[in-house]
Amino acid sequence: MPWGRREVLWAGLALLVATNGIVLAGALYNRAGQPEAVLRLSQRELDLPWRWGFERENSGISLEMRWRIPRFATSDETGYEQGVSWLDKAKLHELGFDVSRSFATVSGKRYYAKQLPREVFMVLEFDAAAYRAAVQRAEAREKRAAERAAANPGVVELKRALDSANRDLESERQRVSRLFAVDAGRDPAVLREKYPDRSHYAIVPGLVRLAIYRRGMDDVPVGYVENLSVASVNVPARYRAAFASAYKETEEARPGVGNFEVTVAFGRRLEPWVVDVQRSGK
Amino acid sequence: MGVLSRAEAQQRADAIRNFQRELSVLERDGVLVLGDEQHRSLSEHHARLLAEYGRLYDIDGDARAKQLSLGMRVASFFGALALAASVFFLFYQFWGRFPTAVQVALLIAASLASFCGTLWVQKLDASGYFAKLAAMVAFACFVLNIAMLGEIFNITPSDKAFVPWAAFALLLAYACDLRLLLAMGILCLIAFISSRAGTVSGMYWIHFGERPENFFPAALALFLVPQFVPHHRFPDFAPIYRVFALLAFFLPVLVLANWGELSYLDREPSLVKGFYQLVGFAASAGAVWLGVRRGWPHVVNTGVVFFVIFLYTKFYDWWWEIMPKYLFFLVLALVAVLILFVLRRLRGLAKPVAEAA
Repeated sequence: MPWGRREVLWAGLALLVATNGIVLAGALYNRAGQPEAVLRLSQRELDLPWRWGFERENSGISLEMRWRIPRFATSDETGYEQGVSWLDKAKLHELGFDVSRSFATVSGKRYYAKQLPREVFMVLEFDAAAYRAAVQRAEAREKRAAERAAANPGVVELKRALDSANRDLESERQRVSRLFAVDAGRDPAVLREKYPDRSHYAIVPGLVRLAIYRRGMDDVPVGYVENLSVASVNVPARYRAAFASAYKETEEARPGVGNFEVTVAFGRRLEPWVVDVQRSGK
Repeated sequence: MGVLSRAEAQQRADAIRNFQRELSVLERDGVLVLGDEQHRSLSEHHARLLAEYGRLYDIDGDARAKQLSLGMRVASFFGALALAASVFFLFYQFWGRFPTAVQVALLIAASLASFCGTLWVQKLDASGYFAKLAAMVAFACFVLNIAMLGEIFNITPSDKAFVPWAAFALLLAYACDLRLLLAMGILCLIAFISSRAGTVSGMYWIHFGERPENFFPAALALFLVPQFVPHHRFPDFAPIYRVFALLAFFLPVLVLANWGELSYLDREPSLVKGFYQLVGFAASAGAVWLGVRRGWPHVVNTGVVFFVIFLYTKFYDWWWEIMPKYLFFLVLALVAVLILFVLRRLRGLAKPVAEAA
């Protein structure tokens, strides 16, 4: 029996109200009670949106989280093609990837190439061991470059290498993100037990991808952190003023380091929100 | 039989006009001559019906009106899309300046008001063109509503959002007899079913498009909808379900027939490509056969189009590099002529089936 106008009206209103109710209840649940974690991030970890194309007309501000992954201890490379150091075969298996097949055969490689990203729970570490290790690595590189340059005065390449190492160290100390993806798992409660410090470790959903990397003569499984499921944080209107002068039109126009500090809380559903914004005045 | 929808009214009005034309020919040839009373009674009955349909459903009165109404359909389609985009960018332009509570209130109010407005416009506009504009805006408002709540509260993206969007679009489509909204609802259903099919393998839902086989369950489900849900009131809807079902099947098959490495099948990509090329040919030929058998011209046309695409892509793979171009295009032309002969033969076969039916 076809519906009349009244039935359609009530069904539509019920659908609209129920859907909004479910979404808002989820958001309220996320923010109820004590946050799961609270991080005080700065512009080093939160990237302002670029204002070009359609974004030029977007009056909202979403800060994109800039996160890094720890390098392999032996790696001096700038890229991450070797994968993430802690995402080894055992960890990939733990995260649900089938790594039982041989990586050496054609069919094995084909099988692994077909694996698509999985959503897991990621541990984001802020301003702690992984960051200190990154600074120490930059310091060691700078020290080695300085020693070589001192031992071979007048060699232009070594002088350039020293300048580059100095810039990297300065960048590591002042500019780049201190937020690192350091671990992942399928159970957030287990991860929280392992990383109890809620002011330095947030657990968030994120995507991990499996790939094959040729290390020496061997093909090995490596994992990549593809992205966080919620990659950016919306800035409520009451904090807009703090970012008004900081829109990026070009790479050169990036505002100075430490322009703002944003306190980001992560709730019961591990979804973030901005709870405070402070201009640092630098 | 009581008329229930605008499409049915239009069909009946067209049948009446065809009947009147044929009757005048029969009378002129002296094959059938009605008495004055019968003639008058029939003319009055038809005039009453046509007037009633015109008043209630704003149907097309003649061939010229039909042509104009096609233009109006095109205009209302583009107008609906543009108006929906306008609503999106209007909110986009100002939303960041409002406190969160106002943002939420505006989004919900826009959804509710545009929905109620659509029903009000539909009540006033029997033609349905303005109702289509209003319904598209209502759908855009609801999509914007849920998407922006996700943005405002940093909610983890979920394929579940496609369910209420599909339900809302289908509600508007059936309430206002709008094919555009039906298409929107079907697209949302395809996205939801395909993402669910993808997550069975453990992958993150947003990557469902990377394995074209994920679309097959949605294609099957959509094709079966008109079989199990009667659409007497909406004669234009069943073809849309079937065409979208065929698109959801043939487009992934076409992709897999060219990029075998995208398949779930754990075999050599060249084997997978070959397999899906065969599937493409067999299924498109099967669609033509089924369409002829069941009297579904839209299924026949879609099947023919994909059969030709599968054939031409194979010809391109085999001969584009090695053949002189005049010969390559000559082969294509000859194949087109061959297809014409086959279809003509099928048309001949279809006549007895239709007569028997």
